[in-house]
Amino acid sequence: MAFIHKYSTISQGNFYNKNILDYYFNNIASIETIHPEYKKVISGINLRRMSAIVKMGLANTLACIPKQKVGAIVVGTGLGSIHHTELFLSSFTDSELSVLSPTPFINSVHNTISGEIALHTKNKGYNSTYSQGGLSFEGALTDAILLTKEGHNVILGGVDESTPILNDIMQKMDSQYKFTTGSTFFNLSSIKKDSLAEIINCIITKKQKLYSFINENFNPDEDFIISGSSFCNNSERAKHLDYSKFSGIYMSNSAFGIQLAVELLNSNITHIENHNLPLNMKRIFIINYATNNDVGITILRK
Amino acid sequence: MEISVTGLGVISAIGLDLEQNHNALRSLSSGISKINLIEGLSQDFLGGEIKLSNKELAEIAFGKDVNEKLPRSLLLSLIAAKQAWGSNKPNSRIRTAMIGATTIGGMDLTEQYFKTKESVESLHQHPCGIVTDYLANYFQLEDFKTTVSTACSSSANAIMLGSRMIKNNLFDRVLIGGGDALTKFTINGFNSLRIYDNEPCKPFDNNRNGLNLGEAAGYIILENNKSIAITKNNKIASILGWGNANDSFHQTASSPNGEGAQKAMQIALEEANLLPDDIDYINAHGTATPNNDLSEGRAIETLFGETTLFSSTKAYTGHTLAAAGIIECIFSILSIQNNTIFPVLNNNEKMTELKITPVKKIMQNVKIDTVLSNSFGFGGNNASIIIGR
Repeated sequence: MAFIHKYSTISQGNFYNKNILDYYFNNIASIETIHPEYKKVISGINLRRMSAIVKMGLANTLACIPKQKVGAIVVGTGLGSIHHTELFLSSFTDSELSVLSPTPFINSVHNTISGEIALHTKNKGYNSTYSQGGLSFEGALTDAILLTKEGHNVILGGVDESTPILNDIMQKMDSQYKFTTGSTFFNLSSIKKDSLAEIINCIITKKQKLYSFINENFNPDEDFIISGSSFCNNSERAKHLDYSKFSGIYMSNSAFGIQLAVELLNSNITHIENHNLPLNMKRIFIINYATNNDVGITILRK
Repeated sequence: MEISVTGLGVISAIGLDLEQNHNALRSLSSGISKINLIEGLSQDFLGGEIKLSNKELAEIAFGKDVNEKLPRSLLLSLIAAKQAWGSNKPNSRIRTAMIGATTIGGMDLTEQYFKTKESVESLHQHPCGIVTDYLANYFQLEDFKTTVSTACSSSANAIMLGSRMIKNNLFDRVLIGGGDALTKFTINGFNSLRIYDNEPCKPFDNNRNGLNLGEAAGYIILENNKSIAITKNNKIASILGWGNANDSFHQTASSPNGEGAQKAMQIALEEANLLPDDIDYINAHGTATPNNDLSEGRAIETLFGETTLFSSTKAYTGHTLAAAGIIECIFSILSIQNNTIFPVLNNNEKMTELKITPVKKIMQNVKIDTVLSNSFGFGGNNASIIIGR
């Protein structure tokens, strides 16, 4: 199966190359995305032309590059570079210019992120991008699990960005929440040795089937649930440790939840917030309440 | 593990269903015309436009007028998916997944909002996943769903994921497709890249001058034998191989020798356990941009030699972006079923850089058992699919 060897996050909190749990226990509050010093990891010539969302994906990728050859790069994103989408839309809506700059158009294409990662890591392997609202990361993860089965060492990531225009639109749609910016990447392979966790399963199903799935599969003595969502008006997830409180709200934030689960599996902590972890914890279920009807369920074990 | 195609659906500028598309292909009639359903373009553009309003498309899709404001790519996708899915039903014994493909999602409605700042709720239809969400609900498919968004190779990659899911016994049946409507966003985008021809496009011609965009949707059903034993569907064709490789050369352009294209085709041959000589015909990506056709032409020549039979159907439909991969796989299946090669159009002068020339006259009664179909996209994305009987 698929084993996680590395992870890296850029999100709310100073997470780059660090653990989310360290942040939690240090209790450093932030509502803004904290970006690393990109010029320390990406060369200056490349950096200047790169969109913000590509910088996040590439910096996270560089933190996850394994010793072995990477055979595949897979990315999940709900909206891609929404900033460059807005720029290009405005360029032909608001002005009479007949000569438009192609740069925002190119950067708005969803697979510019995975393509730029391949370009800057000189990777000629498999490359794909998935987008399915709040389930965008689960599509990429499902492909990544297949790719490890097929023998590839995989870079897998989720990434989304927010903009003032996007949040202005959310407000006009009477949304109770604001989108934030964030990204988490992993290195996955079929090699168990020195891995941090194994992904046992990732499924997408309807919310009404979740309860029977949990009843059939969940063992409270050994299993722990964390849950989250890329939208806020959701009461179910309050029953469990809520990863979206730490990640912020973006469509591919279940990738962040998976990193948090990997860290919990490798930690000695016995409780977090109001939740006690099983003494003999073997597995963590990550439940992503993606929409009012759809859930993604990912199961990890040490 | 046999991967059978058991359903086909297509709507494009050359026809509203499979039969109409086939008739246009074999009578060499192009669907490229002046784009006149999109308001507010800065100049005239030629494209593969389906000459029906959204209201008329909705009437085909739903059999009646609907009040809902739906993106045009959704309407096209629903029409093609209904043709492919036919009378199939959800079945608890058949694990069924749904994979869509798009580059623009509901961008047409987003454009309207940016212009008028009215109907903000229509922006719920913006994200790329909305068509798949809608279709999965419509056909009551409640398991895995995703949408591939790798630009012009999106639906070829969707076929690839579906085939690998069946091969790895993750699912028994997958509804796969892609759809993109013409939008100001993509027309302006390709025009800003200076690769939009204002004459009908000329794939693999020495004087080719860029692409014409088109709009289309295509859907297919893939099934394993376990699923077919239950559905009793007829096998129409088989997916034999697939390959995806990254050119890692430039954000939008292909490498001069088509390294990524060669690698994708090579991987597909290996997956199918075939040699280049086993491929009877290649349905090339052939967008008619100077860069693509040279790069792809060189890759084909290197891998398949000077006598290979290949053509591009882009001058019939226009470049339909995320739909291109799947509609061209459907056209490849028509080639197999009818032992026919549909030729390139508008091709008058041989490319000086290549020894190979595309098929320029319709070839009938040629034995076509195995076809390779190419789809290449931005981000160096190269995808090849091999289809057999």
